Order: sequence, then structure tokens, then C-alpha cells
Amino acid sequence: MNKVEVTGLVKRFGGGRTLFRRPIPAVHAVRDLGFRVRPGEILGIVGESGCGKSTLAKMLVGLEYPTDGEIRFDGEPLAAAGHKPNLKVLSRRVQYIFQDPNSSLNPRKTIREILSAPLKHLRGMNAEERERRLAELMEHVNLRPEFLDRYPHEFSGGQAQRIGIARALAAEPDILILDEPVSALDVSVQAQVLNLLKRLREEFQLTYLFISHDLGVVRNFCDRVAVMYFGRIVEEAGVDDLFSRPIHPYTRRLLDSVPGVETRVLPPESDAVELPDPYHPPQGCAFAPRCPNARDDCRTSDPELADHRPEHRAACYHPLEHP
Amino acid sequence: MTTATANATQLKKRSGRAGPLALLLRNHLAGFGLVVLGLVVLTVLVTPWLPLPDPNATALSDRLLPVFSDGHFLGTDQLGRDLLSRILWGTRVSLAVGITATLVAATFGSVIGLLAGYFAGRVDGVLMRGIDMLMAFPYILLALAIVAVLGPGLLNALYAIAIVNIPFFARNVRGVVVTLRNREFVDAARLSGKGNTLILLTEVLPNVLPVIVITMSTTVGWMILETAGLSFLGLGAQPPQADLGSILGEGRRLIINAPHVATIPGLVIFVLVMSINLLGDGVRDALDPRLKAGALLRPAARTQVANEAKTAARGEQRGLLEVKDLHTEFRIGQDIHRAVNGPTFHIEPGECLGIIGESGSGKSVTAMSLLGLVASPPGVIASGQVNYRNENILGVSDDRLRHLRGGELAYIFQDPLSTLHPLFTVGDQLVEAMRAHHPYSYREAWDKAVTLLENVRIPNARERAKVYPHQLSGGMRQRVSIAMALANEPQLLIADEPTTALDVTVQAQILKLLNQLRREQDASLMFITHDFGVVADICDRVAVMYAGELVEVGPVAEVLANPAHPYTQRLIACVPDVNRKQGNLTEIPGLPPKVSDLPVGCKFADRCDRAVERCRQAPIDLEPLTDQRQARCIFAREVL
Repeated sequence: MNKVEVTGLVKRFGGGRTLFRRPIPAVHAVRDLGFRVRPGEILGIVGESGCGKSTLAKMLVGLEYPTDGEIRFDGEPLAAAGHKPNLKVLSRRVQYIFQDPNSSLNPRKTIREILSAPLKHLRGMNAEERERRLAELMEHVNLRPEFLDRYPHEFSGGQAQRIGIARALAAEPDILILDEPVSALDVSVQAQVLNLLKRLREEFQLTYLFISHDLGVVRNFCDRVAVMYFGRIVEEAGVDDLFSRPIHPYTRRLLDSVPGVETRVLPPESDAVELPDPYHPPQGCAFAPRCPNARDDCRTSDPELADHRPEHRAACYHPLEHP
Repeated sequence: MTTATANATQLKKRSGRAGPLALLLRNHLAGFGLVVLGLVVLTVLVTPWLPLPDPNATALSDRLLPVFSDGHFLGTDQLGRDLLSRILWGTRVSLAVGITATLVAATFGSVIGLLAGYFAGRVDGVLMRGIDMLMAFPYILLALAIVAVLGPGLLNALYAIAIVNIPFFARNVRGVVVTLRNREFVDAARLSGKGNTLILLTEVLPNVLPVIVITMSTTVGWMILETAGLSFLGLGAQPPQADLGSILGEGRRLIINAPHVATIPGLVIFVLVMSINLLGDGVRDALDPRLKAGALLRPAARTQVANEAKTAARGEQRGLLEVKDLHTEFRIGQDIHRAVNGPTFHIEPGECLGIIGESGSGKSVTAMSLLGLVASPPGVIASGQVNYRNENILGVSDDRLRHLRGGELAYIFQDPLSTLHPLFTVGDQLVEAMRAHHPYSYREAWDKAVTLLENVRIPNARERAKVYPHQLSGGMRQRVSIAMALANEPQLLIADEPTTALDVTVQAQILKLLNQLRREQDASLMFITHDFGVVADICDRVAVMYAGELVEVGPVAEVLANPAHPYTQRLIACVPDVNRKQGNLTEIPGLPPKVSDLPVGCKFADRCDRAVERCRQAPIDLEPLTDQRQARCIFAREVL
């Protein structure tokens, strides 16, 4: 059974009408999204800013509610149809790690207070159990137990992120949603945090959904990758397959854009290209205006995500050829 | 004894940033206010035990005695009551009413503000429109109306004043809560299983408390004045009970015959409110984080430069720009944070030098020091030289520096949204940048601005010149700031992480553009970044920075292929490769040293697996390895 299964997910912001019946402009942050994550797997979600990846993450943990579509964990829906999810139940199963470790820790609370909250409210532990568990948690993330009585501003970015991880682990979830967990960190610290996350996954049999815009990190951390563009998944495959033989021209464009790579496949992009306007989405494929392969059919209808090779899906009418 | 001194030094170290009380007392006026208010409060607290006549005991034979009369230090009023006693008892009442009204207003106002800010939407709409209605009435009229409805009396005056002041608290608190509500720690608390009530009480409220205290301290004085005002009009304290306002009101009729009856309570009100306001201002300054960060200190137009650096001998200069042994430090309280510790480098005409380092390595401060852009205070350039075309920039006049800034030497910053002015069109900003250096007419400059926008490949430049920064995407905004930097044909462009905030595909475009422009205009480029890939794409030479020092300098290809310093080696190994899977990533253990407490020897020794005793004993020099390469490591030669 799939650990996470998402089908036909849509999130619209705005829409509806004002008090005076004037329509409010609507933005589709996520459009008809579907994917599956197997138990123990790390699925990477890659995309540029504004592609809807953070909105997706927030919906998975119940901080945002989908406009349409379904999210299932172990086959069970995240919330009953038409209802808001019960966060107290959901948070015991799915936890979230924030991008900015410092703004996700309340500056006026000690680490002990921050880490105790999930133990008390989600796991219902008494004071004695909590004390024992706090020591364990600090050990899991390689922090000294005396840090418990300090305040967040006394920590460096890497340490603060490890506190964020400890808080997520405190709820004893089996799925972690990691929203750009290392992009605010320096490279030397980034490696520390990524290795820690890898170790924890094996120790606690966790399933990760890893959101990032850093392709180097994704290549080295994930098992499978889904590439998002303008609210949709445009390509999804195993990490090696996707990086060595991408099908969708957008994926190729991303790989070509990584600074420092020697070989570039696509011709450089013209300077006039811009991301599509979310208030006026283009008809057809959203990438068509930037795509070297685009033809007339791309501009009239949006291609469906379909199998092009085994375990390799892409939404493209004119995929890149691979010898 | 030794432990005592150790403790003392530790205490000293901790006091680098002062606590709220010390900050409060540093403000002499606030300290004065505190003392005066303290004396007043103390006096009225002990009033019941002082040997004073009954404040309400009338003695018509002794009416209107002057000040310093026998047995009546401040004289008596028209009913022969002792004025000193009445004023002390009256001050008691005034203070009690003022403080109680403040507490009531603070409680209700904060609750409304918390609820409105946190729940937003409909709750916010209903609550805040109610507050708006309260604010729409002139407040003294509103207070009068409330008292008129409830009937005169001290308690009703208290209600009226509290109600009138609720909007101040509600508005202030709501403003803070709205920003707090979107902070990630609130989401985190929700995922920790906390409900709305708990989040409001334990996560949001502690962060709002300083604002509530600040608002209270600045409104208590007002509240006392307002109580006095209502009592003066006869709507507050009713005889025989008296507060300062009603004593003043009664004395008003005798102002010609016995001026002291009205003057003395007036003076007491003045002293009381003045001391509270002085203290309140001090409390606000001490607690407000924006003011605490030094925003009250206006930074100078250029970084303070020690005399030694201004007059340093120039000697023979290398390249277009040469930096020699530059030291920039931040002096905060007792601590000196040595951010830049003597980097020496030069940039040839037409060359691109990359400066790479992690956050806190001093790379940005180095770049900002070149043109005196480090905020002073607390920044100080302690020593060194910055030579541009045989001129030590650190020593030139302010006029000359202004001419160089944005002229021959131009900056591009990381976040164009915060460097472009939000209220002017991009065309106007380019025009301003050009007209600061050249006597162009507006029309001439506008045409040139359009050409500049075309040069940075902005499509439809003539139309785009008329838009505001927020109407452009991040990549387009960065193109505009590049256009602005190019406006006056610079010889050297200093780009401080110009692509860090951009997406990869946009970053690739901007890097391509910078490279083309540099070739076209034959300008030098100093490129500050933390990304080795970017350095490989755009730079000719690279300088690696660690703890404010250069640890390695050399041509990019050679340094990347064969790094000589252990820090460079390990930093390159940390970067996850997009072309292959590495299994576990190499990490550098530990953290960089604190710049306020740097080691004597090699700054990287504590994190280095090759470190030996010799590394820690004395400073290590940046040694030349070949004529192009230098490294600051005793083992560097082994690599080559």
C-alpha cells in the first residue's frame, strides 16, 4: 500500500465574490496534482518559486485545505470529505520541517518548552515521561542536553534546524514533510543536517517528502523526484533516470541552469521569457512559451501526465529524444 | 579569588548588550522620571500614616490661609481645609484611577486586538469596525457622553476613560498580532497539537506583552490628565472626596484672590504626568526591539575610518583596485567583533574576482568597506588601505567618495526589492542615478535610461521604464539594479550575491548577462557568492574567505581542481554534485570561530583534521605557492 497517495489535488486562492458582487481574481496554486509515495521512500519535489510546492506541503500537513482532490495516508483520507482535518490526529502521523529554522521557533520560549508541546498535546505524556523523552530527542539530533534551557536566538542556523527536526520527531510521525529544510543553511552545515535526516529515516523507518529547489541536494538525497511547474507535476521518475535522461524540456532547462555544469544541452534561453501570469494562465502547456520543442498542439491543450518509460512519467507532447 | 575574577570577567562578557533596566537608566531623563515618580508614589502610599489634618475637615475661620501658614504648610482652601493633606489624598485618588483605567483599557483593548488579529476575516471586521466607531468620536466628547449617561462620579469617570482608551490598545496589539500570526512558529505550534486558545495565550501573547507594556507606559499619563479633566468639569470625583482635577476645579474660582489653591494642584499634575511620560518614553526605548537594534543612532554617511588607515602610505599599486591588510570591526558595548581581518587582494582591469565564503565569513563586510558603506556606529575600519587608481579611498573627502560611489565604482545587491525604491518608477530611479553624476536634462536622461534597460535585455524597455519595482519579477528587478549600476559607466562592479535570491533558470540568465556586459563594457567585476558553481561560471580568479581572512587565492579552474587549503578542500567536498550520487555527503564538523573571540593561530584549526600544534601557536601567513596562487596553510605546498 502507498504511504501517501494524492489524486486530483487542486488549491485555489481567492475566487468568489466581494460584498458588492464583484468577482475576486482567483489563483490556482496547485492544479490537478497526483502522485504516490511508497513506505520508506524519499520523494523529492523540485520546482522554482511560485510553482506551488509549498502550498502542496501545507495541504499535506493540514495547514491549508484543498479546494478539490484527495490526500490519503496508508489508504485513509486525510480528512472526511468536506471537513477540516483534525490536526491533533493528523499531526501524530505527519510532521513538517520548516525552511527557516529561526522563524519557526518562538523567540520567547526555551527549547524545553518548544519540544515539550508535542509530547504533552499530541502524545499525552506526563512530566516524568516527557523529561526522559526530551533527553532522547536531543540525543537523536546530536545536541547536548544542557541546550534545553536556552532560547532560540542562542543557536546557529544548523543547530536551530536540528531543534526543528527534534520537534517534528517528538510527535512520533511516520511521514515527514521537509519544506526546503537546508536552503537557509551554509553548505558545510547543510551536509550535517542532510546526513542526520538520512540516519533518522533508517532508524525510525520514516517516509520523506523532500521539497527543494537545489538539484544537487535532490540528486544526492532522494529516491524519486517529481518536477513541478506552475502548479502541476510535469515529470516524475527515479532520481538517476530523471537526472540522466530527462523527458520534459523544463527538467532539461533546470539541469542546464545549474551553475558550474560543463555540458549544456538546450540552447540558452532568450531574455524575453517570463513565468506565466497566475491570474491569466496560458491555454495549453504552461511551459510552451519557454519551450524549444513547442508546437501548435502544445499551445491549445495541456498534456496529461503519462508513462513514457517504465516508472517514468511526463506531461509533454514532444518529449526530448534520448539515444 | 581567582574564581571571583573569572566570574567578573564572565559577567563583563555577558554585558556586551545591556538588559532592559540598564538601557532604561542609560536614558537620564527616564531615570529622572523614575526617581520623581518613585518619590510621589512613596509619599502617597504613606499618606495615611503621616501626621496630617483630615482632608475633609472644614474650619471656616481658617479659610484661604496662604502658603507656609502655621500648621498648614500649603495653606487652606475656601472651606479652611488643609491643602497639603487634600493634595496628597487627591494624588492618591488620581493615581489609583489613572492606573486602574489603564489596566482596564489594556485588558479589554488587548483582548480585542488579540482576537481580531489572530482570527482575522469576519472576527477582525466586526471587532475593528466597532473600534473604528469608538475612534470616530472626539474622545473627550465621548467620555463626557458616557459620564452623562452613567451619571457623574469617580467610578463612572474611570469607566469612561477606560472605554475611550480601548482603541489605542486594540489597534497597537492587533497590528503586532497580524504579523505574528503569519510567523512559522505559530504553524509549528499548531502542528504540535496546540489549539487556538493555547496558541493565543502561550505563543502569541508573550510576544505581544512588550507592546502592551509600552502602550501602557505611554498612556498612563494621559489617563491621569483625562481623569483630572473630567473632575475639573465636575463630572469625576464628587465632594467631599477630591482628586487633583476637582481641587483644581474648585480653586479656579479663587484664582484672583487665592492663586495658590489652583496653582499647587496644577503643578502636582504637571510633575506627575511629566515624570510618567519621561519614564514611559524610556520604557518604550528600552523594550522596542527596533530601537534596541540601534535604529535611534543615525548611521553616518560613511564608515568611520581610523586615522591610521586614512593616512596610510600608498606605495606602488597593483591592478585597478587593491585592498591591503583591511581590518573592519564592529564595536558593540564591551565586545569587538573583528569581521574583516586583513585580506589583501587586487583586481586587474577587466577581470572578474570571486570572493567565496560562508555566512559570517566577512565577505560582504569587505565589499561594503571598500566604499565606506558599513554602518557606523558600530562599524569601524581600523586599518588598511583601499587603493583605486593610486588613491586611497579610505582617506578621500566625502565629496570625492560620493562621486566614486555609483560612478566609477558601483554595487549590485542581493535583494533588488529592498534596494529599489518602491514609490518611484524604475525609469525615474535610473534618471536620478545618472543625474547625480552628470548634468543631463530629464528627457536626455530618460532616453538613456531606456537604452540602459535595453542593454540589460529587458523586453519592451520603453514601456517597462514606466513601471514600479513591485510590478516586475525578481529576475527583471535584478536586471534593473544591474542597469542602475551600469548607468555611469563604472570601472568596477561590486556584486554582492546578486543571484542568491533568484531561481536557477533566472540565475543562469543573469550570470550570462553579467558576463556579456563585463566584456562589452570592459569593466572589472568583484563577485561575492557562497556558490562554487557560480564562481566556476563567471570568475577568472577566486579568493576563499574564512573568519575574515583570505585562506586561498588563485585562478578558478586550478583552485577548484586542486584546492590547497583544507577549508577549500572540505567546502568543495560538501557541495552535493548534480551529476552523480555520492552516498553520504562529507560534512565539516563544528562551527566557525566567533569573530569576537578569534584564536591566535589558524582560524580553521579546530575543524581541521590535519591540524598540529604549530597551527595553533602563531598566525599563519598567506604564502605564495606559484606566481598565481596563495594559501594560508603550512601543508599547502604538499598539494601542488
